[in-house]
Amino acid sequence: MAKITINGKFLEVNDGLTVLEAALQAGIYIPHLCYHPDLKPTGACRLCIVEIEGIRGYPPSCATNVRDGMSINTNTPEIVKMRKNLIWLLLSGYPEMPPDHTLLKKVVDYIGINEILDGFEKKPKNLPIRTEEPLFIMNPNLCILCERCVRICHDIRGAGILGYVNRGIETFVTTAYNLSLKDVDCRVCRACVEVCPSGALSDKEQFTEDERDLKLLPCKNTCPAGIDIPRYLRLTSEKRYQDAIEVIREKVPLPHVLGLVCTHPCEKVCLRNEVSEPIAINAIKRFVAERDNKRWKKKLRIAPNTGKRVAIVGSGASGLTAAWFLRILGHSVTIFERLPKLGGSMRLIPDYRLPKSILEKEIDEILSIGIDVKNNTNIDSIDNLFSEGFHAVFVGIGTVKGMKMGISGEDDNRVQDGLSILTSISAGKEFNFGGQDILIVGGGNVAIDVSRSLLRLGAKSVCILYRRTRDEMPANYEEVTEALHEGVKIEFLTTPVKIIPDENKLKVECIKMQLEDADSKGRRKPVPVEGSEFIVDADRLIMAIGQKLKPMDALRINKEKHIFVSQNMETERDGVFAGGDAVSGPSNVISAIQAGRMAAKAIDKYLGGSGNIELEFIPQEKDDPWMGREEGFGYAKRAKMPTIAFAKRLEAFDLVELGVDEEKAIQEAKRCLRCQLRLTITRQKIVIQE
Amino acid sequence: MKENGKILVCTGTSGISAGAEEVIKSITNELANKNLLDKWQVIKVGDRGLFRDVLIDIITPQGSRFTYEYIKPSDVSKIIEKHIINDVPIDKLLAGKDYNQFFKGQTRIVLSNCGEISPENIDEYIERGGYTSLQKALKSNPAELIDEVQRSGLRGRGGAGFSTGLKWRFCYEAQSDEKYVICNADEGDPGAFMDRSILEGDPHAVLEGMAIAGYAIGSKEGYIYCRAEYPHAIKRLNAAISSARKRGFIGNNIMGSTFSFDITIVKGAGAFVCGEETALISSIEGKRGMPKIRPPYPAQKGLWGKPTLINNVETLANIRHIIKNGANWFASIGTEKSKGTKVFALAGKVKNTGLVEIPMGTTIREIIYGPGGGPARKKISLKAVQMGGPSGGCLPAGLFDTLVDYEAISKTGAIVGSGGMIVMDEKTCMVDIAKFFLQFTVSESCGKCLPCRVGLKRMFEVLIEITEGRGKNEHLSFLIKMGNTIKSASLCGLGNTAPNPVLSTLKYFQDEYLAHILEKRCPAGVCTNLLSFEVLEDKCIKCGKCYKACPSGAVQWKKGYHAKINKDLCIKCKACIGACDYMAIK
Repeated sequence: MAKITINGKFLEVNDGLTVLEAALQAGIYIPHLCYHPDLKPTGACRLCIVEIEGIRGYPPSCATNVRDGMSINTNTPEIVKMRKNLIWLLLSGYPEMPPDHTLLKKVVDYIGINEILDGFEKKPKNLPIRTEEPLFIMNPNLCILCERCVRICHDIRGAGILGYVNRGIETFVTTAYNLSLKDVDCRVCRACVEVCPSGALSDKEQFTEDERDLKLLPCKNTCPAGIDIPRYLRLTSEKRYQDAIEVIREKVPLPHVLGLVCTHPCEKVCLRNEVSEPIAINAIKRFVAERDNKRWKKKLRIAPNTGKRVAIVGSGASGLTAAWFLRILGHSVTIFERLPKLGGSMRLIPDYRLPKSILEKEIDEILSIGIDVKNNTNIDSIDNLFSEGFHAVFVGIGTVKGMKMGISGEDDNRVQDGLSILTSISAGKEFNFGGQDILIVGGGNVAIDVSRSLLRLGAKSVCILYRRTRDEMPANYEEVTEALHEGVKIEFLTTPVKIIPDENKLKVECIKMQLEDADSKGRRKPVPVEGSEFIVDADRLIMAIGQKLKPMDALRINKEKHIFVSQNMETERDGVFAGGDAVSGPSNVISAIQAGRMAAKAIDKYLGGSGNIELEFIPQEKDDPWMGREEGFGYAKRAKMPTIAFAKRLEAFDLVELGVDEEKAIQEAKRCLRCQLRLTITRQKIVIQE
Repeated sequence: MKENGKILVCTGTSGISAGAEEVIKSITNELANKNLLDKWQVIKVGDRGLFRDVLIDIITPQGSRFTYEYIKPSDVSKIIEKHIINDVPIDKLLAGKDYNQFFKGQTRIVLSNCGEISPENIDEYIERGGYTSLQKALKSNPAELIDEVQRSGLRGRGGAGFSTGLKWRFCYEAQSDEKYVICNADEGDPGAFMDRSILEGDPHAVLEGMAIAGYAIGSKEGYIYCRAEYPHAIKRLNAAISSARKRGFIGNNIMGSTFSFDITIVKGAGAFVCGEETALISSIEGKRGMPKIRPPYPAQKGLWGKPTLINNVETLANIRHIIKNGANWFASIGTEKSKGTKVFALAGKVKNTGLVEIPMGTTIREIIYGPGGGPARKKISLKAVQMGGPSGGCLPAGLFDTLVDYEAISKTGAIVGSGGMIVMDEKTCMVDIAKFFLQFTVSESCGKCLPCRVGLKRMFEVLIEITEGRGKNEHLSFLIKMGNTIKSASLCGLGNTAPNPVLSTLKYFQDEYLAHILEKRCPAGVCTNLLSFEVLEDKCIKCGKCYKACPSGAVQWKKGYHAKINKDLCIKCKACIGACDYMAIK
């Protein structure tokens, strides 16, 4: 410890601190711009100069270590005057007043300016502003050459992308030969933007403090279940596949299923998009799931029995997830399923996307931790469950009723419901659509799944009628692409208005649609084009226009016809919780999993627990901020998913996507911008205490 | 044994650029023609610091020495014929009074070998006592050596004047398995060339100093950081290093001892700021040459993070003399706090310009009127001397009796610095001089710290306003305020001293600034925008020099009449003003 005085105030501080650090810790503000707690001091801005008894001149406090007995003055009249002169200098080449949110502005406001030259006209540098770079804007005219960006890029990231060119007043920060960031292999980690105090480097998309995490680390914060994507990508790139799968398993119990069918909203928001193409996050998830050697089982701890019993009604993704976490928390869990096999709507996904064996393997793993199952059991009354001794009930019954259009002729038995067809296929029922012309109505995943399945079952032609355009299709974009690739036809802006049952064929009268201008929600409503009717012949017409809840006794239904729950998944009945499609309407696996997670939390709390469902298979380790250089980084292309030979596709229901190999998976994981690193940079408080 | 005669030819950078190589070719041809090659030896020596085109010395077998100046190849046959064969010196070509006066007032210790020995022949260096100091040093222990250097009172000759012995001690006391010695040969002050002359004329003296320093602090590796604009110096250093290595003066187990020390040359790209220690280190490390904050000082964490001793060329060249003659001898020269000699690059409006080595404690006047030979033009009086180059300041004629002493010079606002000394007369505009030096530092500022990067530029802009006739009253207080802020707040020595040329001229020559600002007049007749190109008849003596100098026919003059200037023809080249001895054109 060193005994020092600052401005007459006696302090005892740790040895090894700088004068600036000691002062800031003691609540004494010394203005500074180039100093950043994560960086080695450079002493460039000279604002933090102080006077120290026995030391000549004005040492910068950022680079002067405390010594026992030091007597420091931070605010003598000379220093105050000098700082004001320095601010005048700083702004003499700055085009305007600094933007309000910047550290520079606060410091300028704190110090004030000495207007030491009447009538002086500012002399901005007039350098070109770089707006064509991905994700951020470089405006060298606002730069104050504090060198923070250069230092963090060199010393912390090891990338060495930014540097000084020219000398003296002509100095500015740029890339080698002013090449574009991609051409100099910038990692686009934006640490430079994070530390820039002047507004010279700024995010293209501005955000509020509340939006910060979402905008800076969108993948993890967009994932409904909050899977730590950046962490498992890094672990994959380090060939630590077991660690990677365990990171995923900390949040979700169905990683392999997700790796095959997740709609991966994370990839849509992946910031790599702005540089080249998004990371193939889901392919990597599948890659590590395939290599899962179940090490996590040894780490999994089931809490001692709480003596509480929970009934899970429905065995879809939400029910299974809720069961999984509740069992881990020590509750006795029983799943009730009306069908013979578990999996809910996941079972309806055709085998070429999700083989039953993989689904069943993961369900068995979930059940293996001690979850009871009552299949072939319809639950008609929740009251009965309570009287059987259950303390809480989770309802995850999905939406299992196909909807109808309400047009004439749809009662013909050649008009069928997509959901039931998928159910039958999944149950192994023999079908033969040999030589048939099939029409499908709808634009969601069910429509696509049916279309591709029927092609595999021998249909002569499959045509989807969709009333909007491809951009509005709710089905996965990739799935639509594959369907088109396999020979499915899609008539966009078309809807059937009448079905005329004929002996041989169904005569389906259709009408062309057009989209109105976007409404307040941005959705463009389709309206019929008068006189554009035409007739299509088909052997069958399959309705895949949506599905709805089959209501249960005494649960309140909201105006969207879904089960009403409060924010913590609680229905209006005490002890009854609900989630998944039954609450949200038809959605996707990852959202259902998150519903199951939230329900597990709420139910545990309801049963007297803490509601903490967080697992830690892999302790958090400090992410190495050193990124180094990687040739061609900016241009690196997204890994292509290999598929089975096209000729073989329609012969059977074999899994179409083959999964990426190890080399590709690692390469892909290394393409990650590692956005999470930016969030580990110390944020300087702009609050100036006095 | 019959002695041969010797012909010395000065072939430093200045000698070579004046045609020394051609003169040597003529000499060897001529000697060959006369069958004298076995009797006369032609030796290329370094420069002597006085520019006299090609300088040659004839040293007869009997040992008499004759110096010829301004020699052209066409003079050679005459000299061989008359002097060498017939033993009759050619008086007309012999170096004259000025040459002798230039050397008379000097005490040449550091420069003692320059222009006397062949820098490329190690034997000549050894003959004059070379490497005996290293031998002596290797027999003493490092602590004693450092004591000796410290007691001598030697201070860094690069500019800052820090005690050399103390610097050595810090490096000696720093604990590390590796340490480095760097010779700072990044001479950058405009007009200063003492380091270059030493490297070109006596490179072994620097190597010997480095080896002694290496032994003293416990270093095995040395670097010479020399600017690439000094190709001759680098060539000779390379030759010197390889011959010293062959003889075992550097390399492994020097002179049979356990001490090993080798030297590498690193070429710098010529940025002024790279003379600053930490910037120099960055440059050797392959980084942008920018200063770093100190502490840590290089003595603690220098090159590659190891303790590093950085000494200037002239400092290192003093070492062998101190070791050889002892600290007491060295300390007996000079003043109380400034010991030994200092080499100055005397330039400007004096008769003789060149390198002058004088004992500390000599007055400025003694330098100017001794070796310098007084004002270049008798009728134009001297008004100031600028010392220390861009980091230094001006010292007015009234202070010419100031002693050359680090503290005494500093007190005036100038500095000893690396030894730049520019003499100025009434025809030198002090505002313009300040602007000149500021322009230099503006373009040489590395750009790292705010006050130096932006502040100097803003001051420079104001000086342009003043010299172009747009000066305002408040400019003076701006220059003072900004100058003081830059001095106090800058990161390295460049910024800490760069305002000096402005501040010191403001201190001693404020009237000139005021004349520019208030009267829009440049008293020295330098600032073109402020000149009216009119002849002042009360001063004109009708001599016609301006008429002869004018290249555009604008000056009209007839014998017995005042000159007149036709402004339509005038191209404002100022040739007339330069030619006038009576300040008669405004």
